[in-house]
This record gives sequence, C-alpha cells and structure tokens, in this order.
Amino acid sequence: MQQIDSNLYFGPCPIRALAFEDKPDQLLKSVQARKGIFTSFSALFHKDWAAGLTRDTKDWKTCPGAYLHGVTNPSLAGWRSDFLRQREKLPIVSVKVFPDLHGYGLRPLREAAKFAHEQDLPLVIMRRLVDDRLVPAWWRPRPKPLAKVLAAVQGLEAPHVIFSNFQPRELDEVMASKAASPHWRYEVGSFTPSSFWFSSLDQRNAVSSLLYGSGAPLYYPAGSLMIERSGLSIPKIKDILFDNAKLCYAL
Amino acid sequence: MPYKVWDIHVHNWDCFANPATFARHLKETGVERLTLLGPLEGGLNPSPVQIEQSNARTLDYMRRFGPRVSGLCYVNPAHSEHALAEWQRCASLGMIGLKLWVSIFCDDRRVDPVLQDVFAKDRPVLIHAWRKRDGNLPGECTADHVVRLAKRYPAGKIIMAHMAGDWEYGIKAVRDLANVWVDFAGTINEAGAYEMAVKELGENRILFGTDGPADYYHCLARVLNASLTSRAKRKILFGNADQLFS
Repeated sequence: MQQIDSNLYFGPCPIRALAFEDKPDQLLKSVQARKGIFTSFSALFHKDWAAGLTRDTKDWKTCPGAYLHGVTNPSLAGWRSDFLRQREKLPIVSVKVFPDLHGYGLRPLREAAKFAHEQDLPLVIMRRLVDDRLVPAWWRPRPKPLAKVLAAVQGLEAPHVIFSNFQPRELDEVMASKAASPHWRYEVGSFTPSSFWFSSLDQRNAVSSLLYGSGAPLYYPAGSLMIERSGLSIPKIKDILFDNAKLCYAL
Repeated sequence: MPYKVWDIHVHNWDCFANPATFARHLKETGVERLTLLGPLEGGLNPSPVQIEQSNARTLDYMRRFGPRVSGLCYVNPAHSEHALAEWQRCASLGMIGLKLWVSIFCDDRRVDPVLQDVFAKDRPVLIHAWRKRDGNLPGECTADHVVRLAKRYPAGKIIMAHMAGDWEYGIKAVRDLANVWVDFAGTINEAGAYEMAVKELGENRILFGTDGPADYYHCLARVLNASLTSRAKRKILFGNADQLFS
C-alpha cells in the first residue's frame, strides 16, 4: 500500500551511527514510502539550526519525493528570517519545534504556532526523540507536563497542529482532552502501542486524525505493518498511511 | 508469513487479562507458540498468596489454550522457601521455566535455592533487566546483576529480558557469557538493536518477545525489517526458543 512517511531523519545522529544518514533517497526506498518528510539531525542539535540544515541538505536536489520538516528554534534570534530564507530554497512543508530539547518555555511555542499560521504551514510539536528511559545523561531537558503543552497550543490557528513522537498513552490523553481540536493530528508508528489500540481508536472515531511516521532510521520502520494488520478498514488504513499526510502537508 | 513465531514474553494483564481478547490475539496473529510470564500480581514485592494467584492465572490460560501457550513460574525469592516450593509445584503442572521481576536483585543469595532447582531441571530463568535514565526500581536488575548471576551459574540458562533496556550496554555486558540469551521485548523500537545483538552475541542467543499486550506486529516488524539474514530471522523468531525450551 502507498505510504507517506512523515517522520524520517537524516544527517549525523548524535546518539549512534545510523544507516542512510546522508542518503535520504535510499532511506525512502528502504522504508518503501512513496514520499517522506525528513528532519535534519543537524538542524535539531546545532545552535545555528539553519546552518545545520544547510549542511545536511547540500545534495537535496537529488531526492524527489523527499520533503523537509522546517525545524526551527523560536527562542533564538533571527529564527523567522532564517526560516524564510531556508524555505526559499528547500521543500519545507512544516514548522517543526522541539521545545523540550531546546529548553524554551511555552511562549516561544505559541510564537512558532502563529508563524506557522502566517506561513500556512502545519505546526509539528516534537515531544521527544528517544524513549524517556533511554535519554542520554548529557540531555537535560525532559518533556514538559502534557497539560502545559496543550494549553500552549489551545485555540491556535495553525492549519494543523501535529503531535509527533508522543507515546500512545499520551495521544490517548490528548485526544480525550477538552482542549483537543479537530485541526489536531497525531503521528503514529514509531512508538509501540498496546494490542488493539487502533480498534479502540476506531470505536472513538479518532482514526481520521492519525498519520503515519516511522521514525526511521532511528527506529525500525515497524509501524506500517502494525497499521496494515490493525483490523481497520482498507480506506482507513489508506488514510493513515497516505491520504491524511498528503492533505495535512499539502504534498 | 514465511516465518514461524514463538513469542516468549507475554503477560496476561490489561487487555490480555480477558480470555476472549487473548483468544482473539492468538487467532488474528496466528503465532505458533507463546509463553506467558503471568500478570505479576501484587506489585513490586508480592506476597506468597499474590504469587500463587498470578501463577494460577497463567495455569488457567495454559489449560484453556492448550500446548500453544506455555508458562513461566513467577516467584518472589524474598520468600525463599515459598519460591522453591512454588516453582516445584508449577513445574510439575507443566511450566517450562522461571520468571524473576523486581522484588530483589537476581544475584541476591536468597534466589539461589529456587535457581539451583530450576537449573537442575535444565530449565531457563527469564530475568527482567533495565537501566533507566531516571533510576531503576529498588530491586530492578541491570545487566550487571545478570552478569554476576551468569558467572555464578555458568551451566544455568538465563534470559536477560529487554536486552536490559539500554541495549547497547546490555548486549556488550553479556557478550562473552554463552549461557545468557536476550529478548528485545517491549516498547523500545530503536533500530540497530537486533543487528548489534547478532554481531556481538551471534544469531543463536536472541529470542523474540513482545512484552504483550504490546502490539505484536510492531514488535514482529522490527525483526522482519532488521538488516539480518533470513536464517537469523528464523532463529530469532522461533528456532532459538524452540532449542532453548525443548
């Protein structure tokens, strides 16, 4: 079945050596995705995130079907103009923020959401990179309380807000929250839920807001098999694996 | 599916506490064999009664679901005499090994009486092990505890569950201990774990587990998508467990 993988990584990973770090086209083939949206590790971890993104994307023109998350740090000076300059030359399809890694409060998160709305781009909020139990000792920030994150994005007018790398139990909490908006989307695939989780979401009519992201190559691309065997109807599986991301990211 | 699967690490708790849901899981996945570690009643330091309740539920599923479902006997070795008696009882009822969780460290001397009997019967012990960034539970083993135990009992068969969580540490810790197997059961989905395990341990010491009811297909797909030979995948998914438990 056709897939858009909305959570791929490229560039040098600071935790361990990964396959395909400078070969996003081969990673796309490896995960059998027709299109993929990539996060640059250098943009995530470098203080000058724009320079990190430039470094990781120097061969980008050779990757059809590959798009970029516009990773930015809205607590740094000049982040808006840096973003706009990057967007002029690269296929950026989102504003992606990682508040817990970059260690900023919730006001910059709201600023990023407003900016995403102005740019008519979805806002992707990254909760974590790795499981909380395995975070390296040098990595100080920890996920902020979920209620505070939701409070920061409640009522914002970004075209969509996408919750990325949230644990399934956190997604349950977000979806059940009074703050939950029909514009919110939930990326699934990199973290392991409980058996029959998708059936339970289907019973709550929550499947239409899911989109697939494997987390490869940091994670095994295990989510697509899980979704295909979830017992959902074929149209719903297709939505999760392809159509919802196509719509959300305007691919 | 080109591979048979033996899931050696499943708990009959949460949705699997319902026999109908568990039956649905067996039917939909078609898993060939499955080993239950029980619902681990009684929290971190269960009483003998709670241990027996936990094992009773495992035995019940073994009876309901036939030879496809096997069980490991859960004990709390803090109650050393009860642990030995309970293991002997459960072994006589068909359980195929021992399960240790977090009540005391696995290399605590109070574990010796039950372990000696397990190993005398040539049965394996599956030990929960982790190393967490924010600190472990009071009696929660790390790979280092497993290593000490394995050296004390070089003929004993030991399964270090979860590759001890921090798998890059766990795999290397047990690299040279031929009597330690590993599973990668649970929700950690980091790529490279199986590949490193095969490289460091060889393809014969790795078992497949899900920590069910964690999603079976997500766990299975890790192996299917790993950069390993078909032979290695076959061994991980079924062959190694078949050899170890037979």
